[in-house]
Amino acid sequence: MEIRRAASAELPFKVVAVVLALTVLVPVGMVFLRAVQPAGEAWDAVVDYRLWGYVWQTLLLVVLVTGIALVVGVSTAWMVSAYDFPGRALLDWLLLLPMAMPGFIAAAAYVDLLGGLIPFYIWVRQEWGIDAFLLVQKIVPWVFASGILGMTLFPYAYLSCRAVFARQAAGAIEAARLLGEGGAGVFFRVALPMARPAIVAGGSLVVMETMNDYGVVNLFGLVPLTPGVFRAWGEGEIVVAMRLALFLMVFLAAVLCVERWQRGRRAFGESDAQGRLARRRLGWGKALGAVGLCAVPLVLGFFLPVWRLSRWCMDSVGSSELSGHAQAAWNSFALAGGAVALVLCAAVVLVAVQRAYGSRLILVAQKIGLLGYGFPSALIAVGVGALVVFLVEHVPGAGMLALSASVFGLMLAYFVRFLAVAIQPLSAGFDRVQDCYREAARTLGMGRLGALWRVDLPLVRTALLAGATLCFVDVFKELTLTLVLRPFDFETLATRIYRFTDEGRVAEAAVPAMALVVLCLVGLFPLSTLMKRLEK
Amino acid sequence: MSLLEVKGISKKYPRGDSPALDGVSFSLEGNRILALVGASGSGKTTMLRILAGLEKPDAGEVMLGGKVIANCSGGLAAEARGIGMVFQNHALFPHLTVEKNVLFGVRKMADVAKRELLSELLELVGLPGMAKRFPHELSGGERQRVALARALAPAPRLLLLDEPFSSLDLRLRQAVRDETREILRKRETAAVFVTHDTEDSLAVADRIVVMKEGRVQQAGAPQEVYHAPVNPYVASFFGSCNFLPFHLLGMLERARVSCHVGPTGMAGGESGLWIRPEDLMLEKPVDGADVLCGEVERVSFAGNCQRVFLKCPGDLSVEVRHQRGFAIEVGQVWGIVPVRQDDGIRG
Amino acid sequence: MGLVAVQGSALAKELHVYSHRHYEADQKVNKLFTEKTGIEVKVVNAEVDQLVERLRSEGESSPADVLIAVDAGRLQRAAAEGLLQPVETEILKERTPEAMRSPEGHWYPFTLRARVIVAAKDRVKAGEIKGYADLAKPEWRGRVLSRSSSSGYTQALLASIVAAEGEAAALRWAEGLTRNMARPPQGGDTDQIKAVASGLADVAITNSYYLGLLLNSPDPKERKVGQSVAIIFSDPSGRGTHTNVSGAGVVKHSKNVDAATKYIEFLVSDEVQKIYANETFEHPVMMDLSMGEQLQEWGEFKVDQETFPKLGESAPAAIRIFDKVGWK
Repeated sequence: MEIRRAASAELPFKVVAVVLALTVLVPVGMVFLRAVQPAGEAWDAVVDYRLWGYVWQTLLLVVLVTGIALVVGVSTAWMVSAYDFPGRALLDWLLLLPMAMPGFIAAAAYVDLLGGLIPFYIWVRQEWGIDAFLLVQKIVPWVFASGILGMTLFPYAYLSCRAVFARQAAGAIEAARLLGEGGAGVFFRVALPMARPAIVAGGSLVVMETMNDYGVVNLFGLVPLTPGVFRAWGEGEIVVAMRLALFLMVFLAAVLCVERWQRGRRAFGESDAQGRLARRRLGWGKALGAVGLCAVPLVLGFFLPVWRLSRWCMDSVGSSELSGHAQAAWNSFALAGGAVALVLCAAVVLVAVQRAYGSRLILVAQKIGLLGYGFPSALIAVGVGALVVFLVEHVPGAGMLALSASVFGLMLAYFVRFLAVAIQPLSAGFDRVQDCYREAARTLGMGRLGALWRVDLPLVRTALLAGATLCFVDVFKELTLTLVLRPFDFETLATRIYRFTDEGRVAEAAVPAMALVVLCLVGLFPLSTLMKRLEK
Repeated sequence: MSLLEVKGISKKYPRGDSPALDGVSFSLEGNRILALVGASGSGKTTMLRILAGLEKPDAGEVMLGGKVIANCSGGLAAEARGIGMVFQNHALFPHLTVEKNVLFGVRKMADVAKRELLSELLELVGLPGMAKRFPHELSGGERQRVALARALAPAPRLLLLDEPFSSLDLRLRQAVRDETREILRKRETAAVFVTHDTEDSLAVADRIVVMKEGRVQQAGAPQEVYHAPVNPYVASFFGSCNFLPFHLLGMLERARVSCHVGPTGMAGGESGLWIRPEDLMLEKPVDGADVLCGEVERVSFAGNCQRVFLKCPGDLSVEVRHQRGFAIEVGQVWGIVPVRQDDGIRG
Repeated sequence: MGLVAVQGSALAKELHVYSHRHYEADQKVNKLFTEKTGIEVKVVNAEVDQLVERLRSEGESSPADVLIAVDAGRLQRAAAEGLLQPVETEILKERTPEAMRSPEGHWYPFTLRARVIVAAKDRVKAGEIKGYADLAKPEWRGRVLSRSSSSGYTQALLASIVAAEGEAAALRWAEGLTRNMARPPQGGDTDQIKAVASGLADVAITNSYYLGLLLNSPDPKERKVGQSVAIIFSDPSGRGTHTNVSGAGVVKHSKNVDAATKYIEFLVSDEVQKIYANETFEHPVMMDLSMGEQLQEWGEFKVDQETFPKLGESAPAAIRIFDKVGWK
């Protein structure tokens, strides 16, 4: 009797979970479906002239950016974990700041510097001739683009390595010291190899973000796969766009395979953290060097853009664009709020309800939901776009959902992309909360849902809040998906900033840009408190 | 001269009100094993880490082989001290084989010599042929032994061990304990180890330092610490201990003559004797005899004996370890007498 | 806010204009129209491709009345897709040149935009460049700047060359020009002129009115930039300067055809033409140079009317050529 009742109570949640999982998979499905349709000579033209360019530019960009981010992230994480020097504790936290600086905003602060390089180019032409002149101009945008992306994405690598150095590898690091190894020896022989899974994890995040970037590469004139997909889509060549999106998918799958392979190699399962690593005090000279090493990426990736933007803000205080900014800001808030609501409800079903009932089906749906984060933004954009077009054409009355008319497509894309952002912390939160509390409630007579509502959810309040904040900030600063799927005459703060920058009106973009950065800073707090907890 | 001299080490943690270590001093001869024992929070692990060079004392100094290696301005860096350490969770390098782990700290040695050293050490710790395995392929006990081999490989002057046996289950524990002592003897390496387990310290150490809340309570040979504790804390640390006030001693006249009797001391304003449960035995009370009697309140079976808890006049509780053949039951009245040194089978 | 498509307003007091243009002068013009007629002008600004896409998907329920685009090719394609409806009035016939408007009356131009060559006065001698063809010659290697091939202006220019000389010749020209570029295309027309002034290159292709805006800018630095280059109208003895238009057409499903037609007529009125001539420095459709001082300074030039009608149909070929020669 009891068991049957439970089963029927579970059913609606199971249905919902299945629907959610399907929602995440549908854009990918659409892409696959359309990609195999005939594309005609447009595809041939792309293959002949553009495809190779897209591919090698994507590869080069990924290699450059990931290289920069890993070198900066790992070295700063090591400095901050293994050594003690004045300002260390402050830098430890400050090094997260570039996460609050979306790439395209940093790009806005730097793009005008390109003009300042013209005398340099002219000098190169005089000294070394036209070929060198042309070559240098091809290289400079790459330097800017990969530098900006590297300096704003390195915190991913920083965070993951920091955790390993300070906790998991702490014992081994101390053991190595006692076995006579000096600083560099400990780093290369012990710390770095042990941090390999973390490096790979942080690195794959950097790769994903780089591949999904549209703002930075466009502002500097680079054309990797993502802008290529959007160009095809904009030209109306749907099938071409789908096929290019699949290329992106292949890239990503390759990256994930590498990550899996690296992780599975050595079973580093023994992560019995035994307290913090004891840091070594540095002498004056070395301490200065350490501070400098940590300060450079901070300045480049956060403080310099902020300073330049705030100077422009001062200049444009009386601008006539402010009402447009306010409207865009309102749009951003509304979208982010809506997305968070959707995503949180879905996450609660997929995680919390799954815990309450222990359903395998819902667990599978949860894993599928996590996939969404890994899909390339371009793929989600064209997949959702194609889905909406399909609905509009074949379902009567769905005209109002059209891409140009409503935010339906956009919200759907946000949902697919950011569901994982809420599932992860919630899942981790539940991992920390033991089943025993819920089970105790049940032995005291509470039903499954009641226990969930009154015991589990309050206990994971912080995780829920963290998930909500992270998701809110992610949607707020999202650019790639929004540019493609937004309705007509609809701007978010991010797209507005991008448009102004693209049109050369950077000074007027400064005010909304600073607003966005401030909001992202606020959103960093859950992350930093999580880190503080790690320290204890 | 002692190999290791610790003088007046103090350390305070910024967050704590009471100091972690307060004027700790002790010394250790070469080739000897010293145990630092105490409850959690007694400062023993902090002391060990100061010896290792992973922490810095606020005051005092540590001398190794006559040279100062640690004082409040830092002292020698950990990697320069020539001190090895076995960590509580072994801290084996998971990405290296047993061979690479063990030889990690060995430098300036020809490859041939290294291989010889490796096989010698692996023999010593009882793991021959495991050179190519990875840590995750080994059991807990095996890992502990590899950690020991690794710490011994660079031939350190002093070896530190942090709760080395606590992660082993009971059966392994005794065997590994004894083996470790043998290994250290064979290598003629001095060692300091930290434990909260009194059995470990009594079995392995040549010298025990009992710590409580950052202060040394007593330092001495195991027998001394066990049978001649200087205060109630030390006494009860190593096992239950009865306190018998002197005014009852009249009945224990024979006690003063010949048996192991603990120190005199004070408790609750009275002076009396400390005496261990195993130094007492139960006798049929003879009417009129001058014997301390008590009524059995509780009996607990402990495998090789019965722990008998008696209530005596004056509201005194006494515990006696009863190892004779006959069983004791609650409610019986028995006489309590000290066990004589030459006591054998008498009932 | 537009979460759901709004039904067209039934009042004739409102006019919905879908436009790419967003200059201050346009707002002025709209205000004047409202003052004159009492009809409020509601403008929706977006890229012309998006506007066209929107018209397509809105279909009959579209609230749009007028479509304004700054590229004849796009207007031609919109007409071909049936998104615009033909209108004909005497005013519109009289006040717009026949060669530069839709033959069926789907759309009418209201400004002309000449794509000219600007050359650094101190580095290029007068008469050295006569037309677009010169820019592909090898002596100009590393000295030419152009806008990206994704810009409608660049596409229209190449389309006109395709229409005039055929695909093969256009390909050769595009190849030559790409080789001569001082840097990969970057930025808008104003950026090209500024780059020429700074010495990065010696010539650039740009719309004439951008130069006008610089020359008459309140910022003295920008004026200096404008003054450091000379304007060259291409090929006066041949087919002339490639000229595009800003054009307006009445949307097919408009509910206010009368008001829409009046609006377009207003755009070609003397008053408005003068505003454009003096504030955005675009040429008036009937090429009456007396309307603006700056235009008079530049003088007469031959408008390429021959290739103009074929811009729309030649555009796909142009795009292919861009791909082939790697003109980014």
